[in-house]
Amino acid sequence: MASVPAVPVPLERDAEPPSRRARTFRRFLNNPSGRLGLLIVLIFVVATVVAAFWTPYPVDQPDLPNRLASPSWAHPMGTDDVGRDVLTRIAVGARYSLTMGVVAIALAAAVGVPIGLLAGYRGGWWDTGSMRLVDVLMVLPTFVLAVAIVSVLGSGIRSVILAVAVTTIPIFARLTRSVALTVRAQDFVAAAQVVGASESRILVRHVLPNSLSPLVVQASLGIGATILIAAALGFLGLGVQPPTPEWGSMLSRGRSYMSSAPFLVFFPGMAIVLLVLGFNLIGDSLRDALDPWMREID
Amino acid sequence: MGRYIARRLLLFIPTMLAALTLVFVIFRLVPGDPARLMAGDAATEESIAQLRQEMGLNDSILSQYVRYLDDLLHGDLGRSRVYQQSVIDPIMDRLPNTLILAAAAMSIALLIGVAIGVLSALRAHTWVDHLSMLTAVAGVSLPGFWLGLMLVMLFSVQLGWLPVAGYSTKWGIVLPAITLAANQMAVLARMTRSTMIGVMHQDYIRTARSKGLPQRTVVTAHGLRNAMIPTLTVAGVQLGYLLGGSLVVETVFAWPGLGRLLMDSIQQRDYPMIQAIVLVYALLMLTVNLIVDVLFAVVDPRVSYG
Repeated sequence: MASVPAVPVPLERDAEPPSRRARTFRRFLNNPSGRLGLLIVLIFVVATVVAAFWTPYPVDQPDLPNRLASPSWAHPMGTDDVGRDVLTRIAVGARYSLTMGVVAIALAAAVGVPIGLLAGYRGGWWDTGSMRLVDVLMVLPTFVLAVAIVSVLGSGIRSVILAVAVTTIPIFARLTRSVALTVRAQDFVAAAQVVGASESRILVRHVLPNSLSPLVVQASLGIGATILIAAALGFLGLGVQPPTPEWGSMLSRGRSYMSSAPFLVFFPGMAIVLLVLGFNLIGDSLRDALDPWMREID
Repeated sequence: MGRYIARRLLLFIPTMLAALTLVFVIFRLVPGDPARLMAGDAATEESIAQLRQEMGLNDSILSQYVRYLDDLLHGDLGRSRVYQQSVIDPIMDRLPNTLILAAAAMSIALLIGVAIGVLSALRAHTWVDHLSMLTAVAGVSLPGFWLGLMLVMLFSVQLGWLPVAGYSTKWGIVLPAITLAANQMAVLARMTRSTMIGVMHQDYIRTARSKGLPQRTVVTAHGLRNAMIPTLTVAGVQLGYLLGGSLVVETVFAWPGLGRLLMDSIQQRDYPMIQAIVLVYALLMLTVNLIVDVLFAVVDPRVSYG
């Protein structure tokens, strides 16, 4: 873009006036479930940050005299089968669940969104070809695909992230494509084409910013779903391996003591439920805030 | 409609081929060496080399692919290294159990999910609605393995009403089916609610009301009947997720289904078995989608299929 375009000014601006975004955000905050979701996720984020610097007990030091202690003031969530503080381990474990959720979704979006943008914008055989390719990933139940990939790659945080990202690519590609299809038909895209903007510029500066809203909703819901899948893989022994305090694997280990120490199963599970619920509430409320019309008829 | 169904049936072939290829890619393009993976850490170099030879891994990827398809075409899904026999028999032994569990779960999910959705729609924006929808979001957020264990703790350990695990007793299916149903129930409740709200604003509902039909008839015969179509479509799609979820639930409840067999096979590094089971899951999912699509062509007269 070395040459100076003839009428750059109106095209350079964000197609959405900022006031609209601000109004959306206000609508989101006005929704009690949106606020609740945000609060829950914030608590876990704060816990993660705090646990990175300080924890009430060492994460990984056995304290056998205190094993399987019931919840008390000293150990609000009890201690596990070797006497480690469950609250500490859950706080530290938040790091892994959040990381897996965010990184996997970022990866899936990084691959899926460009595919969808090109498919929707270019149409033709590009569209057909890339969508057929993406559809191949949807012939297996998501979780079975994730398990198959992890069974081959071996367990561990990297495999889990990769497996979930692969299974989520089609969702992002398909969604982006459908939004890009509508955006492509808008006047400002035609205007950009007329002034001779390059395809990549149109896609990045015009189509993508105007397709973002549903993608943000999907990302929030996707992080929740990813955390669930990652925890399930951990539970099955295919995910993050002990002694890392990953919630799913903690729960699986606690299962052996279920009748004498049910809190070993209860609290890690609660952590998963709450964090996933937080992301789902945020996603739902964002969708409502972005789509006031849907809310009207609801 | 006949043409649509024929086309849909034909489409099954390339989709199945895509599934076969995906499974081949996952299990052959392992970073590293499939033979090493299969043999385990304790294996000697010699036995790995021998395994490579047996598995035909020294041939080109293309000829491996062709041989793989050729074997499948002849009904040869591979030989289990644990069972020392064709993988087909163990899979066929377990398959019905998974199908029964999935069917039971889907029935529960539909029945309760639709009921909650309708109730929410009719009482939209009241506390009944808010409470049901909050429950539904929570239901979507529940990990199946945790819910299952909690139900066991409550109904089996504490109350002693239902068996802890298993397949052995008549009531053994109740807890796994409810666990598996929870997520879908929530999804279906939300779906039913939003379509039902839309439907209840339609003109034909007003007409039905003005004819003096009782509320119950209006809701069930006119409202629900029309709202069910999107709900059933979603239910069809969700069956795939249900099959995925059954993997976890079967493990929790020691239910002798396909998912359990898959987990055992992964632990035993029985890769021919793993690969065959994953393939069966794909086949199940594609068949379910096919049946749903064809059923809708038959049932729904409003949609024209070109």
